[in-house]
Amino acid sequence: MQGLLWTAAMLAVLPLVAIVTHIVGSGFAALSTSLFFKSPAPAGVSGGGMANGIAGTLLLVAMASVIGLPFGIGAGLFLAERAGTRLARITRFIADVLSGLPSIVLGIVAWELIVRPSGQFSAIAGGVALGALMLPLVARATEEMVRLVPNALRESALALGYSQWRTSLTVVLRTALPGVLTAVLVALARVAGETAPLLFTALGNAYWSLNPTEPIAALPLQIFSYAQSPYDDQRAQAWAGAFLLLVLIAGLSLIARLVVRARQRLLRAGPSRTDAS
Amino acid sequence: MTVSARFAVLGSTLGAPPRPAPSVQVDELSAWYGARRALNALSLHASGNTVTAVIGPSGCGKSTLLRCINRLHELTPGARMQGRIVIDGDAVSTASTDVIALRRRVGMVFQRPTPFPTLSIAENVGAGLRAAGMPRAEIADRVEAALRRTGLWPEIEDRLSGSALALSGGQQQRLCVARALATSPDVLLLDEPTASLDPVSTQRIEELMYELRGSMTIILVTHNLQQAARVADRTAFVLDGCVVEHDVSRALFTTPRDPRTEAYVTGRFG
Repeated sequence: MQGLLWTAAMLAVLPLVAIVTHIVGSGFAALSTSLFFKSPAPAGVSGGGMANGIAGTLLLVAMASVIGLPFGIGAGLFLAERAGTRLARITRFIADVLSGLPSIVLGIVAWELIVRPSGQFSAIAGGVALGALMLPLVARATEEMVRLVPNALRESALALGYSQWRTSLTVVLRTALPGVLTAVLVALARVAGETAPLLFTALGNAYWSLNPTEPIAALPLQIFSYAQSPYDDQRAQAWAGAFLLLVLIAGLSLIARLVVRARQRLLRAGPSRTDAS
Repeated sequence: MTVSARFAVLGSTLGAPPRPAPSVQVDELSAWYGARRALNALSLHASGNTVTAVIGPSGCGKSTLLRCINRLHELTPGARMQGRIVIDGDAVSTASTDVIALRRRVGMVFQRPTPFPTLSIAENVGAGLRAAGMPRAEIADRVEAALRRTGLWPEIEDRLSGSALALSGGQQQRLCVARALATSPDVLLLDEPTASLDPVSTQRIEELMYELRGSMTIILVTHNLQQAARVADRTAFVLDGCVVEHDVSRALFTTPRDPRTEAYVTGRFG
């Protein structure tokens, strides 16, 4: 029995290990300083980098967060604190449908709503598409985490004369924060690697740009176009880009864990620890 | 030395200056959870500066009574109440009552300790004061005073900024009492405050109740009849959402008038 479970666990982990080792193996070799600091060179010319794609992805994720985090967390809090109401049930249903929607559909919507009226592809359109993708993920995860907070804690705060909204924000949400933070990171990682919603919103850009009203480069888009390239140089850079995305996402979750742990340690020991010894 | 004499000594050494506290008058109070009726036209009077114990079998409506007094009851989905509760001449059971101001006057301690896990010990005790908008400098003094009253101060003064979750269960419950005391309530509702505590912690809480009635009115829900006899001036026996008998504790426990009370206090049911 033990052996069977062990084998099952190994089989589940195997694809992940294979993917990671392949990406690290192929991507690490193609890493260079120019990758981080230079924009792409013309096809066929060696050298160049993905600085524009890195910056573009960071900007897109930041714009998505501006939309996805406050509204997502707010909606999640509402879903948990007003769980039984009709509005909550409708919202939850819509969030579930939205999170099951293929991401390319959100791209089309952003295209229809922003790209078409404004007459051009833009970083904003990409950010909106990614933000809409994040919204239901963050909302449902926040709801789950907030529901884990014991009701006794909520009532204790109310009994002390806390208002409802203060209870929700400073007691309930704060208690659920480590879980919410983890969920947010999963959502960030998910949208950072999305390609489909960016195809006809952010479009991609061969040059350095941080202008939100212009088309912008993104790592996944660059990987998409370089991976099909006939030039070895560009295919190598696609692997390097994949490696960068992997590092970016792993780094994000690592930072979050460290932040949560540091906060807990601080609270456990208290500042008196330094003058105790 | 008798128990009450020992409490009296403790009271005089720990005691805050005596302060007249308001009475709590409950008139014809009925409460429902959906279709289920938890209180059935219950009436009860708790005089100022006394400890009133409420005893009765599980599910008789004791906790609901407390939750109606500070208006937590109506926050349960589907719950509602009817009747009148008057504290110090003010009806606090009306739709126009400022429930937040009411809850600042009426403190509550629950059956299990509920320290806020994300706050330090000092922040926990000062939570009610911060919510009321008191400046930080004043809060520190009030926190210390509240912790001293509960006897917790010497045990934790060197780790005020540490997590409240690191405390023992008894300490956590005294922290919750301190948190309720910090806002200087006139009325204190205790919902089986020692149900999850060891005997030593229980004794400390009981001593505290005895001392506190000098400055507030206490309503204590308990399953522990000895506890009611030890600390309560008067005791009310509640059955099926009604007060069956309400008398001076000694009389209720030694010479109950109602046969149902007698059956309960002698352990024949409940």
